[in-house]
Amino acid sequence: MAVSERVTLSILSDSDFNRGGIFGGQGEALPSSIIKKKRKAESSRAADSVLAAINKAADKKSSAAVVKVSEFTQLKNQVNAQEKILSIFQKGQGLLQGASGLTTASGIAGAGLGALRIIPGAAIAVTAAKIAYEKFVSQFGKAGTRDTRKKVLAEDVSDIGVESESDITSGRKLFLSNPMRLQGLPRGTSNTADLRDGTRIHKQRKEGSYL
Amino acid sequence: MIVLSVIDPSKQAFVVFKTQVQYPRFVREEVKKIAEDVILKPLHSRMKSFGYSQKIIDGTTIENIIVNRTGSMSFDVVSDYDSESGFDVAKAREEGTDDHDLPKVPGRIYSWISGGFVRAFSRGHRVKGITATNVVQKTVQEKTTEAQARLNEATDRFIARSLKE
Repeated sequence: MAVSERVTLSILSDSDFNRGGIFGGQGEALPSSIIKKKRKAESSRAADSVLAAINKAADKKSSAAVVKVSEFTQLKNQVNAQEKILSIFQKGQGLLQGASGLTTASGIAGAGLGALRIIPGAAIAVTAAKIAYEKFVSQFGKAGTRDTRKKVLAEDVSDIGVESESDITSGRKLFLSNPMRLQGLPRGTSNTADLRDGTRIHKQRKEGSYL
Repeated sequence: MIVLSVIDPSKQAFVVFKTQVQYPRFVREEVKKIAEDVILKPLHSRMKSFGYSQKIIDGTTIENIIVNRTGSMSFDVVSDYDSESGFDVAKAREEGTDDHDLPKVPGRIYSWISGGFVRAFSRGHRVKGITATNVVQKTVQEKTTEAQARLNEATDRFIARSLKE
């Protein structure tokens, strides 16, 4: 069954036309006045004051042109309050003020949720879980508390394998300033550099040290 | 004040008769325009601000315009929209509902967006009631007086126009 509201308005009747109330001589009323009189007899004075207010409101110079907040507007604001609060949660605003204690139940619940009693529990849990997840993932990123990039770098540098380490210490693999020497190609370096490299190779092979 | 300056009584009688015959049709057409301007447009915008679905807004119309010769006329502001399962959504939004269970529908699953980004599914669950808005009732009550004032002005213009012809 649909929602239906009936509106009843007053109009001129046949008797208004027939008795000449409209088209008489001087002293006769306008059709609208006849209708207003008829309606006044049917309705309360409240309707007349509303009508007067509407007419005054049309006149912008009148003080009655200031429109008061109607009962309808107040109801609309009250009903929309729930939707506004929910949309704030969805945007993540007003829920978190910092990352500390976020991943704990008390951290999420205590983050300024004065409206908990209004918002459905599922929406809070879902939104909070999403934000908690993003914060958790960001901890593994650059400069985060769980950033493991440095650890990996250090391990790669420090552990190159036993075989490589033994090759280096025995002199089979050499770290020289000029790698062209190892390959037997024309070095193109100065005599001083050659002497330095030769000393290094000797010391590495004989004494097991770079120095 | 409208004064018939025509002296000839037969012409006066003719003008009155012609106006009387044309009046109901004038009222019907004029009231349709006034109802749409004064009642329906504000009602649609209020429904939109309340977050009503466009289908409910499109289903809100002016119907049953009846003009009597006894000095009154009436029309209905009707808001009608039913869901696929036959649930009267327009009435639920207007009058509100209590907390209730969504029934299980064989072969169908309920689906909605929860929290703004997660799609949720269910075969039937408990939902909270909807707050009554009474937007149709309140708008009609508020705007009826303005509609009457507009009709009065239109009637004056119509009579004045009839006399000039």
